[in-house]
Amino acid sequence: MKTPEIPFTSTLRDFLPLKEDFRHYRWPLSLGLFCLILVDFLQLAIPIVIKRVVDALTGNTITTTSLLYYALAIIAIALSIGVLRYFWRLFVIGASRRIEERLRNRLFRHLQALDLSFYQRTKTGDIMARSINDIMAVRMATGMGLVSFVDGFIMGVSAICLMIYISPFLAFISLLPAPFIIFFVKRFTRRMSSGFDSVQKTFSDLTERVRESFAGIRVIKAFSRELWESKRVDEQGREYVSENIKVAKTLALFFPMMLLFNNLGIALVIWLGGRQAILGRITTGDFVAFISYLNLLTWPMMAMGWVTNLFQRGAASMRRINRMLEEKPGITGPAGSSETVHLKGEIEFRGLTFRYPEKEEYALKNISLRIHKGQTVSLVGKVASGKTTFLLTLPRVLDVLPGMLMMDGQDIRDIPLKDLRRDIGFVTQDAMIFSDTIRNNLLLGRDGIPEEILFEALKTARLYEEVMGLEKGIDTVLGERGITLSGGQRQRLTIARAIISDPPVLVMDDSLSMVDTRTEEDILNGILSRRKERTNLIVSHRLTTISRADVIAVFDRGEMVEAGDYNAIMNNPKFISLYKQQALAQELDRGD
Amino acid sequence: MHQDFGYMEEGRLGRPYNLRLLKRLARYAAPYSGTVLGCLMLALSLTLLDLSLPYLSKVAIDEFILSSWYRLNLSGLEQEDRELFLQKYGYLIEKSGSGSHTELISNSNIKKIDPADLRGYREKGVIMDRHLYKVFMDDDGTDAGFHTRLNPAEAGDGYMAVPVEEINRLDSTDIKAIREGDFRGLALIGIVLLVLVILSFWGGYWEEYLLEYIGQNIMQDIRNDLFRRIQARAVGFFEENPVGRLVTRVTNDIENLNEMFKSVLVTVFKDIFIFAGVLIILLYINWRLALASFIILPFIFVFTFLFSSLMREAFREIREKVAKLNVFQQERFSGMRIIQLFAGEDHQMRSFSDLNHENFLAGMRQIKLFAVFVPVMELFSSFTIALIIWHGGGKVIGDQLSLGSLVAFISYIQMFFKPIRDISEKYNIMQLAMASTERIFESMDSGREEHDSETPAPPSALKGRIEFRDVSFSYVKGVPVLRDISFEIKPGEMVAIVGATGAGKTTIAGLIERFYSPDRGSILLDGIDIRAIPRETIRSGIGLVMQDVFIFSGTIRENISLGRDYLAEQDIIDAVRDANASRFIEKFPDGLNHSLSEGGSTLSGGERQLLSFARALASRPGILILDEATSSVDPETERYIQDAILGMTRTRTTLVIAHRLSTIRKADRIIVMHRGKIYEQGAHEELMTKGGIYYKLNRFREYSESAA
Repeated sequence: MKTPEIPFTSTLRDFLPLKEDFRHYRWPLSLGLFCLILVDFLQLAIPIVIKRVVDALTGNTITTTSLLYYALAIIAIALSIGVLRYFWRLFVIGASRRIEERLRNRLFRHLQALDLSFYQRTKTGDIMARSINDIMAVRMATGMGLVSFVDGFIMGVSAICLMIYISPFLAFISLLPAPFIIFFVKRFTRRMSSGFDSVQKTFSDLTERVRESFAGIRVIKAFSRELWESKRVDEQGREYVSENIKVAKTLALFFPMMLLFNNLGIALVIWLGGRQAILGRITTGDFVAFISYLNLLTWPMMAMGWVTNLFQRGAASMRRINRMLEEKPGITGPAGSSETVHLKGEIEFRGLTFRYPEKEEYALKNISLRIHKGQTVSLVGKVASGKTTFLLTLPRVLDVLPGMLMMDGQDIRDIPLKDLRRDIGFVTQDAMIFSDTIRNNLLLGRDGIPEEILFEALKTARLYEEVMGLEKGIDTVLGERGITLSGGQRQRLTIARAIISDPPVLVMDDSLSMVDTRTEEDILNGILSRRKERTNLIVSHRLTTISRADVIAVFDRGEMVEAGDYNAIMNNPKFISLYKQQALAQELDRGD
Repeated sequence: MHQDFGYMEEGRLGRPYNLRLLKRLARYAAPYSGTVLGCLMLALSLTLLDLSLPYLSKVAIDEFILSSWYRLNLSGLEQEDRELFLQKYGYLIEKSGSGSHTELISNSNIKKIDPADLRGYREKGVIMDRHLYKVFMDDDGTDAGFHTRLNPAEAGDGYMAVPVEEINRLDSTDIKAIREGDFRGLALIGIVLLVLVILSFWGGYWEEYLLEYIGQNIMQDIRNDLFRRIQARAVGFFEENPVGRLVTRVTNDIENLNEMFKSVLVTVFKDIFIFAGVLIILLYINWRLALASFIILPFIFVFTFLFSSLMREAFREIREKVAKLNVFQQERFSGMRIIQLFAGEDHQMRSFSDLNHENFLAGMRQIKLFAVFVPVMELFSSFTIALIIWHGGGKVIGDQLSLGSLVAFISYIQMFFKPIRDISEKYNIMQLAMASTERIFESMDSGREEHDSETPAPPSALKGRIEFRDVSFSYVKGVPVLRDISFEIKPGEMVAIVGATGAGKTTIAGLIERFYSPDRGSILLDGIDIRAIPRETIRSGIGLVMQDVFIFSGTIRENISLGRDYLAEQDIIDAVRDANASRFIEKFPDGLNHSLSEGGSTLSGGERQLLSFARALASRPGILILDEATSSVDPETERYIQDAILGMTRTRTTLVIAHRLSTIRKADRIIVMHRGKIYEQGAHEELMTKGGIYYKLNRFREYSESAA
């Protein structure tokens, strides 16, 4: 990603989505910044007190008592600085934390509304990077960035003002390097950002190389290629190192260069300012004060570079976040009506045709099928024949054109999304389990389901005994910080999850593949006997499952080539040829 | 300027960093000790430069800007006192010439006289209060003509002493002419400063550059070390640990060390230098005042100590909350489909915003701590300055301390506090880096590495006899995958294993390759227990074709050779031919040199299989283990694959985990597996006569084939 030079205004524009948040926290923010400015002025006051002490000591016009007063004055100033500092940190940095929280919530809410196609083309790692690193960069820009900007600006301007007050000539002389600094900082940031880009790129190359090595570990071990692979990683690492060092050659210039400019100013002031003092145009005290103010300028000058960097990185992050926030949820419920709809379970596909965006071939071609309430439909077909795509159109995870899919005689697009999805129990192929308790994994936030129903569902999914065997039973935590379930257990858990709400439509997408035949039969018997009045759609490769369906729909390359009951299908040569390859494994499994 | 490298991944954290970790890290720095030493020397010199800059301006003021002389009237003293004075301070006096009793003493030298003596001499009129300036005359006794306008107080050999006020009354051309020496002195200081500034610039540049160089190289070494150790783990380790986490360990965690090497370690040294330097200078200027101003130090140390434990706690809490938030997000983003299918968005949003708020609160706690810590440290510094003004100012009044020293004290004490203040800022970086270090070393140490028997069998080419004797194996304790498996494959034989998914077929291949070790029983190759054979011998002697083909980024040639240098070009060409892969490779204009993108996504499933055949055949292994892919391919490629399989199994011992009927038919023997057990085995004909499940299977197949 190349970051060309970005003018300040467009940097601000990137932060525009935060306008509301800034408005919301305008009081703490302005109070905090006010405290910050006060701190700056008070900080400039301490040297003045010291200068007075020095002057008084020179003139021998001072007593021990007045010295004590001066000392107390410094302590008083320091105390107020301390209190004010506490408040600006609390208010300004605190506000940046609050803004961060709001932005993260907003992003999460938005991401939840995005549909499958977004998640298919976006890696989870990328989304995580937005939500963690980028939001952090924004926080840095709105917190420390803002503080440094205001602080540096106030300090810089005040110091320059005081310098001009002391001697306009010296001020002019010592600020001579300033244009060079601005030029240098500009060039520098431009060079750095392209440098960082290539560092970033070699880093992701390295990451990919390492990932590849671990993902392909079996091949590497099977061919004893460990040495080769570690050499490849080493090479990639060296490339990364050399990119970093290339950047370091530029980066290492920055702070010494800033210091150089500042110290050049001091050298000039000592030479020319000293002459001025000798010639009596300024006093010696002025000369001393001038040098100390020039020293005070170092920080604002450095801050300028730092702030530019913070803002630019914040802006780049904000742009990435904005891109994600601008993603339109492709699938939304009908506008207006908010009346709750309850599905009965009548489904009709009318010439359903579907194509994934960016793909040429149609995933589903002109499928018409009518499923009555209480029917069980079995979908069969090879891998990638369109079964999963077909099923995903039901809860509108994939969206179809108007008029292609009717539920209870109503176009599916006119049913509120929430109601539609509430009334379809969907068991996906991959059994997704969250790091949470079994109970929460079953409920997924659905309230008002009594425990007995959960137990009932676990029994139907043949998981009850195993769950009860755990020390904490249904409240056992799963995943990362808890226990790990086997593939079959996960599948059974997701089945229980789908049936607890006794949905009018149940979809099971090859969701018993890791469960042995006997258990599968038990589970299906249990579910189907409970759901005689309800609609069921089941994908399975096992003949036992297929045989109990009212309707068997045979899919082949996106087409539904056959639909009918078991007897009709078994005489169909196409169906049989489809099953030739799977027959072996299945028959073996049935053999015991 | 710190970069982001992916997102932070979390584990448990929070122990304070300890010496053991640092020691271990230091071992990686050992090869660069020369450069590190150079860096430290640079840091030391830069500190000296930093410390000298204020001193130079002090010299500029005292020696040149305020240069003036006082007249000494030693004749007003008794002989005895005069000798005492000359003995004590004679070196300070500028003699005006022989015979004269009036001498001059310079403005800067007069401060070297003991304040008590000074008052006495002043009272006695030995030292005049009037500031004089020495005006030199030209060699020939003339000058630029202004001496006529001056009223010299004293004339010596080649100069006259003029009261400063007189000089200041002149116009600037005259002042310039008179004080040319001071101007030159100022210019000299300017030039010295310029040189120092340029030196400090170059030093600063090299310091930064070398730091990066050292840091990057150490990181590269640690990375390679860690990678090799992880790579050496048994295959089971990679099944238990998600690849993503391992990658994070090798890349991101090591990246976190960079900040530590760069900004912390050397700045810590620099801080120590400055701290020590200022300490010495202050003690040198006035040890009494120095000790008085150090009164505050114990308070600072106690305060910092107390606060650091609070901050550590706050830091730990933040990390924990961030970790929770990350795990939550990671799972929801990858499982978003489930949430949407169950319309659980509102509930998830509530859970998320709760976690997010906890994270915010933890952040606020840290902000509050910092909001107290930083100002209090500033307060300590201001207290010290107040103390110096009060106490030191008193000393100035009492003529025990010069004014310049007081000013120097104040500016040095500010330098003194900066390192202490910075420690808190570096604390966070240090914590982060230490947490990463701990994880890195933990990953290095934990987990079993594969290791070979101490007394290995002499390496020899495998003839191809494979024997399983009552082998049992389980991935997870209590869930057996293989149960008392025994079979034998003779050299040159082709054996097919059939059975449902999960019957344990692939596990058999993994056991022969020594990816795993059997729980019970033994496996023999050519009559030798494989535990006694070096893994290298086994693995390079067996050609393994895995079910899912892994493609490395690189050319097709690299993917076949996998860097095996001993393979000749002809070996690769032969392997490609035997694997029936020439057809698709020739489709690419650059043939074998065709570059495959990430994961080989440009190849079809069938092409990938053919490629993996070539990979296995290239070293002409005596044994071939073929785990047939189940994914379907287009009929044409399917024919190519079948032909290749028939060809390559003809000449060597082959164990094939079969899915293709054509492969099964062709086998000398068929092992029918079910749920970790061998159900029946024998040649096709035998099994058909036996009438077991294999027979039933075939009947079904014939039925379906006739129907097709």
